[in-house]
Formats: sequence, structure tokens, C-alpha cells
Amino acid sequence: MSLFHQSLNVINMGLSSFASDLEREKALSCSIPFRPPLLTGLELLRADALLTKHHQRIEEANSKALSLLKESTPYLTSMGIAKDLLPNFQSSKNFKLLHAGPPVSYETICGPLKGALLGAILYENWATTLDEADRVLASGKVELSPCHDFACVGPMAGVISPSMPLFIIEEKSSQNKSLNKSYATMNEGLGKVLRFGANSVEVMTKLRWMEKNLYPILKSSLEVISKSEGGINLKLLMSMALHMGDELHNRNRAATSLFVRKISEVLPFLDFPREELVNALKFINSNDHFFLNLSMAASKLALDQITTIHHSSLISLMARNGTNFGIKIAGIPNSPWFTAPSPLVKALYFPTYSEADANPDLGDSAITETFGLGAFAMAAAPAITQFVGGNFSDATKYTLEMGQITSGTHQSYQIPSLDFKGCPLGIDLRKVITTGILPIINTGVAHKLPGIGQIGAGIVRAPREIFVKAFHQFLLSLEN
Amino acid sequence: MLHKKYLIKRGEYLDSVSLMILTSQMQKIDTQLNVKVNMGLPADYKGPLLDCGPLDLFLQFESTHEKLIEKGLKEVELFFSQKGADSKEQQQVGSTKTASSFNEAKNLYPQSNVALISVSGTYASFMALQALKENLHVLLFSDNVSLEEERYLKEFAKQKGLLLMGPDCGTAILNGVPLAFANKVRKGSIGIVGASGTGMQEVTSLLSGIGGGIALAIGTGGRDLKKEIGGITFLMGLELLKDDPLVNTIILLSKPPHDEVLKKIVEEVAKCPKKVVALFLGSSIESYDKFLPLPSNLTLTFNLEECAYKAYELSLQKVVDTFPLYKEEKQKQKKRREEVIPKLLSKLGPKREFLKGLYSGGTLALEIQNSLNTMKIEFVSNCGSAEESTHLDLHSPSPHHTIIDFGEDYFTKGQLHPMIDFTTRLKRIQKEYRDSQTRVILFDLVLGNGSHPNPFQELKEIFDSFEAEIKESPYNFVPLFISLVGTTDDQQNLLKLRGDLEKYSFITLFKSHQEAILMATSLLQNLQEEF
Repeated sequence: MSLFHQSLNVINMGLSSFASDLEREKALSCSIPFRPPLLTGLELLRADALLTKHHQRIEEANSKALSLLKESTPYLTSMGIAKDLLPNFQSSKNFKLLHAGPPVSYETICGPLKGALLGAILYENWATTLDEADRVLASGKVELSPCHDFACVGPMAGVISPSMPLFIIEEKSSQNKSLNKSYATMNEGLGKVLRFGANSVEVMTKLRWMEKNLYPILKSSLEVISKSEGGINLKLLMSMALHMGDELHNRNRAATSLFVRKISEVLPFLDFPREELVNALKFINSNDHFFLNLSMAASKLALDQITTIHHSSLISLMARNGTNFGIKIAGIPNSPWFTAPSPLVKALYFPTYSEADANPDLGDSAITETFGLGAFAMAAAPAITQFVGGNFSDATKYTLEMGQITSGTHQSYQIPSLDFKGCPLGIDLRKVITTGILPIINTGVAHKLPGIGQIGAGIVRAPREIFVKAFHQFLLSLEN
Repeated sequence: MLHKKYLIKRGEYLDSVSLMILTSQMQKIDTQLNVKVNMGLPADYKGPLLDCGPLDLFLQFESTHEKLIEKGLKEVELFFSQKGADSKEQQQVGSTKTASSFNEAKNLYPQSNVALISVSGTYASFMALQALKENLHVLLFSDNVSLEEERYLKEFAKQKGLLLMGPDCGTAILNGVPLAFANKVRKGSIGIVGASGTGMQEVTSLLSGIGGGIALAIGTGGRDLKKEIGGITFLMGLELLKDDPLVNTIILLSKPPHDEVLKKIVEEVAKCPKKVVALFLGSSIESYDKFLPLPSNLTLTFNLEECAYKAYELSLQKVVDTFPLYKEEKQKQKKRREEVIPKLLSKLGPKREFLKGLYSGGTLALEIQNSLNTMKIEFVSNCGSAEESTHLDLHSPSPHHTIIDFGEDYFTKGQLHPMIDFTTRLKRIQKEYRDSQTRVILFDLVLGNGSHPNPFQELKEIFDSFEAEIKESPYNFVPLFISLVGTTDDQQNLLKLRGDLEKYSFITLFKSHQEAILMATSLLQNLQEEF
């Protein structure tokens, strides 16, 4: 064995005193900081053996999936009303409402989500007072479904009701002949809004204004733009925004500005009273997160396309309903939700608020991280790191860390400070298990009582149990 | 009123050593403050519902004084701020090269050939597998790895022609470099395959001291010679030494192998053109009967000293059937006993009966047990032959001959290993020393890499107090026999240490543990004459 006649070069993992001793002997190659995997002992060895056996299949499936994700070219083409766009959305017997995250029951709904659902019931005139709305909700008369089941995504409580206007995002990649679409509402703005569980008269008033005034204006703008250039190329806007300091989850100012720049050419020519056009612009300009719903829908559009690729170990969805955190795996046929209690966010709080007031992690916006944006692209957004309590080198550290659990990088969505390296793309369940590194999410924190609004922002890690559960199921699906 | 406070630090994973360092820092704050530190909720936790997962740090503070609890909380924050500062400093200085995985490490440093893994046993096997996949030999220091995992890893390694040394392998010397707990020994022509860490340390240190040298010391982990593992690493090691041109003599060192495995070993030895010295500590000469006739190149030995001396003489490659150097050493030792024993007897007070062996190295504890068994002297112990029959709580002195392995779970649960941290053993040495029925105390001081860098610093205060007590009253005299395991090249400065220890009137130093055993049991035999 040649080992014994070469110089010794040892890689140390574990006690640092061993590394120092080796360094003294000039026999240390390097150290590997230990991170516990999510499984242990013999179970882990057996899982490794299974993964090795099916390695080829998994790699091929992931490669296909990664390709689709990279190629995806979302266009904002038009708008419509939920009940007209979504299948079976209004049955004659039941009322239907969509919400963020995995399925939830009345007994387990968190404060902000409940507030939003009650608000939506009022908005739809299924009740006239909050008490009545609560009775309607409790009675089971309202069918609750995840937004994700209807190709929709919603930030925070993410409630979508039949009368709400939705953006329509379509796939226009030349590689992809699918007729995929995704949908999202218009972002209401900050403060006391429905998605934070507020359901007061002001909230209703604003929602109706958005339906009656903002929606027609935006719809008309999009009709014009679609006619001339097929729609607004969101991929283009998003890649530019990343170059401008956005990460497209908690920082959307540049993207929102680019959106306004796009529609500004068209708005003056629309047949609406000037004041209404100005109000529409003012509304969008006052909300730096207006683009969020679009970046979420763009992410959703791409990820929905990998859910039929059997044996892919990529995560196709991460979403929270404020009570539970759920994920789905691309390669598990008809993947069920894998859920665990939603964690509390490690946050910086606005004055007078603290962790005691916080609601657990909430919203479909983790779809952006699933797509390699948001916290995964944190190195592109220095401004946000101060807000979530870190500094710029932390931002880079997080993006690089996520690179250890992803299978590839974006082509078009790049991070300037990392030499225009693409954002880490395709969270690989296998790597999460073996490295123990949990996906990280940048997020706002809602007050746990409905109607108060955002009380802070910070960083949260997806809970480990869901990956363990998903992994066991994934291994089973490999052998079939 | 007893105040209790819990603190959970989410995601703050500490390795076993950092955990112990934190615990010991916490416990030093005040005797009236009780602190419990654990990764995840402790198994016996019965308090209120806490959001604490297995990778979160759990701290429990208990005290009748609330101020002490506050102090404790401050100390915790200080610990973590220092930890952060250290790692930031390291990053700036750029002293430690790191990689995030074995795959990355092999790509960045392709000349790497060995992985040294000492992480928690629950995960260690997987890490070892990743290293093997990268064509690295592995020294798996971690224990608490199951037998099945060991088998899986060793089959995998064998297939790839790689060595898996471990689990629970504390010692190896490869290409002159001591790995994990090992001594700086002279380079030479003797190769060792050993299933016992401290056993290898004693043998290599003795060899080095008498002029011999080591080419290679390959550890196999304590269970390699069990039936379930079949000696995979042991046999691979033997084969390597057989083929290595730098090696002319081979030592095989272990506890008694399973018969099936011993058969294979004997077969391989027969095929080997080199001299082989075997020590299967605990075997009697009769246990080899079924393998007669033994190969002519095989020399059986029955203790560590005998093994070292005979191997040395064989490595000189002169005709040495009579092993003159070994005989000479035994004569010297006998003379020394004849000088020392009467002196000790004259100082020993009445009613002192019992021998107390307080060991950090398991093999040395076994070696003395062997001798006691041969002499039909009964004893209690937490390890080896007497473990099952001992129904006492061994955490306190008792009126019996007592052999304790402080490295066993019995004593190490929640503590650092006794070779690094002397606290538990020192407490016990004091108790035994002040017990009126103790006749003689033996303990080992193992030096070298991995061991405590300045042992005398830990011992001085206690030994000074013993000396003072003896001055007060000669009845307090108890002989303390210290086996020094190490070489003059080890970082602990053996020569100075010897000098410092020899100053005490009650200490007798030994470089060979077997000699210490003979000296101690001689003291016991004279006991029978006394009564």
C-alpha cells in the first residue's frame, strides 16, 4: 500500500486539538467543520446505499428539472377574476377560500390567517359582521384549500376569495411547450392589511378600490403590452432587479420600480380619468413590495413544472400557514405535504414588539427561496441584511451555505458581488439530509393577533423534521 | 426557595469537547449554583414544555440565590461571544484551512491520504463512509458506533483496499506521525497492529525507551477481533506489515480474539516470513492449545513489558531464544523490589490492606487484573473479568482490592476523558489516599499527543497536601505507584516530570506497568506475613 511511503496528509473532522497536533507535525491537509446530518447511524448508512444504487436515475431527473427551472421564462400577460380563472372555484353548495401554506383546519388556524379569512368572508358578503363570519367559518360551510393546489401563491395569510382580481403569469420559454400558468393577487401594501389578518372597514374599502379601480387599469395596461410584446417579461425584470440590490422576497424596491417604468409608457393613453391613473401609480409607488406577488408567481410557475419528474430529489415547494410549515418533493409522484410546526423567526423587532408577540412563520413567499431567490440570493441585497440583523459578510455566507444544498445555479438570475455567479438553484433533499444544512428564509414577522400587522423581520430555517419525513418517503418511492 | 431557570440556545450545536468546556466553566461559577448543559432536552427532563430540539443547546440553572442564576446567564453569553470572536479571529488570520466536505477536501488537497474522525458516534459512521468514498484511509476515533455500522464500514473499506482503523480507535502512528492519542516514538523496524490504544502507547513508549523503534502502529478499534467483525482491519494491517520493507518484526496486540478470528490470524502468521510477537492480553497459555503446533516465527507473550522487550530483541535480528536483555531487566526489577519493599513496609501503618488501581487506560486496568487473577487475588472492578460480579457502587472507596477504568462509561458520562481532564480521577485519588485501609495506590500517567499538556500542574497541589499530611502523622503514609507512559520526545517533558514527581516521599515511578504490578502485589504478599 503506497500510503506508508508517502508523506502523511490528514484531513481532520472533530476535536480541534487533533488538528493542532497534526499541524505541529506538518501533517494536516485541512479541517472539516462538523455539521450533524439529519439522520443517524445505521439508518444513514442504509439510506446512503439506496441513494448510491439509484444515483444515476436521481441525477438524470434532477438534471432535467434543473433545466426546466433555468429555462422558465415567466411573462405577466393579463389579469382576471379568481372565480373565472380557477377551476371549480365557486360551487353552488360551498364557499371556497384559498390560503397560504399546507392544508389547515379551523381548530388550528393562527391569528393572522383567521383574521384574513374572516375579512375575506366579509368581502364576499357571506356575512355582515365578524361574529357571523366566524360562525360561517367554524361551520365548515367554507371550503379551505391551499393556494398552491390552484396554481396560486399568496404572501403571509395569502387569502384568495372568488371576487379577487389575479395576475396571470404564463410560461413563454421556447424549450417548454407546456401551457403552464400561475396566479397571484395584487399586493395590498404595508400596515393593517388583509394578509396580516386585518379585516376592518378600511381594509375592505381598500380591497374594493383595488377590485374596482386598480384592477381595470392594470388589466388594460397589460392588454396593450401583451398585444405589442406578448406581456411583461418578468424574467428580465427580476434579473435586472437582482443586479440592483433586490433579492425578490424581502427586498423588491428595484423590481417594483422597473414594473412601474414598464407600465408608465402605457398608462397615460388608457381611457380612465387622470386622477384614477395617478391614484393607481401612487398606490404602487407607496408599496416597495408590490412586485413580491409577481416574483412569487414567477417562482411558482417554474417549480410547478418539475413536479412530474419522477425520482428527482429536488424540493418543489416550501410554504407556511402560520401553524405548520410544509414542503413537497418533485420526484415523489403526487407528492403529499410533509409538515411540521412552523418555527418562530429569529427576528429584529420594531419598537415595542418582541418575540412574545410574534406569530410563527407564515406565507407562501418561501416559494422564492425554493426557486433560489430571497434568502438564497441574500448576497445580492446588502441593504436587507441590516434589516434582518446581520451584516454584508453574513449575506454572502448564507448564499454560499445554500450553495451546499442546491444542485445547480441559475443562469439568468445572478449575484453581482459573487462575480455574477447564478443564484443557488434546486434544493436537493439528499444534500439537506447529509449536510444537516436547513434551507434559510428571509421573512417578515406578523403579530400573532389578527389585524395588527408586521412587527419585524428576520431569518428562519425550515424545520428539520419535514426533510426527514420527506426523505423516508423519497427512499420508498425510489424502490418502486 | 430553589430557583430554576431554563435557557435554550436554538441551533447552537456544540461538539462534545466544547460542551464539556462550557459545563466545566459553568460549574466553576459557584458551588451554590447547579448548572446542567445538554444538547437537546436531557433524557430525564421533567420540567415545563420547552421548544428544544436535539440540535438546540439546553441549559438548566438551579440555585437558592437568584443572583447566581443571573451570573450564570452572563457567563453563558460570555462563552458564546468568545467562541464567535475566536472563530472570527481564525478566519482573519487564515490559519486553519477548511473544506465543507470530504469530497471538497480531496479536490482542494488531492495529496490527502488519511481522514481522522472524532465526531459524535451517532454520525461518525456516515462521515467515515464519505471519507472512504474519497479513497482516504480512516482513523475513526469516535465511539458509540454500533457493531453493524462497524461491519458495514469495514467491508466497504476492504473492498477498496483501504484501512478503517476504529471505531473507538485512540492510537495510530503512521509514517512517524502520531495520530490522536499517541506518543512521539523513535522510528525503527517494528510494526504493530493493535486493538488497544493505551496498550499500544505503553508498548511503543517502552520500545522507544530501550532503543527500539516503530515503523508503523496500526490501530484497529477494540471490537475488530470479535466474531461479528472477523478481524478485518487486523488482518489487513498484518498483511501490510508483512509486505512493508521497512518492517522486520511485527507485534500483534489485543484482548483475546474470538477463536475463529484467532485461527485466521495464526494462519496468516504462518505465511509471514517475519518474526511475530503476539500479546492477546488475558489469554492463558492453554487458550492456544487448539492451534498447536504454533508457527515457528510466533512468540507468545503475556504482558505489555514482555511484548515490548521480546519484540525489540527479535528486531535486532541476532539469535535470541533466551532474550538476554529481557532477563537482565527482570533481574534489575527484582533487585529494585528487594530495596524498595522493606522501606515501604516500614512506613506502612497497621490495618492497611487494599490495593487500589485507578486507571485512565483500559488496557492497563486489564493487565493488572490479569496478574491478580493469576495470583488468585480477588478484586472488584467496573471493567474486565470482575465487572459482572461486582455489585457495589464503585463511585466511592470500599474495603476491597479495587481496579477502576476511569475511561469507561460508568465514569465518563458527562465528563471529559480522564486522559484530558483529571478532575474525577484526582478526586478519587484523594479519597483513596485518605482512606485508612488503603495499602497501595497505582495509577497511570499517559503522556503524548491528545493528553493533558501539563499534568504536574494538576497534581502538585494534591501531592503537596499528601506530603504535609505525612509530616503531621506518619500513619497517613500510602505508597503511590505511578506508571509513566510516554517518551522523552513527548510534549509533556518527561524528564522534568519525573524530577518533579520523584521529590515526593510517597511516590515510586515506573516506566513499565508490569513492574508496578509486581511491586504492588509484592506489598500485598508481605501483608500475609504481617498478619
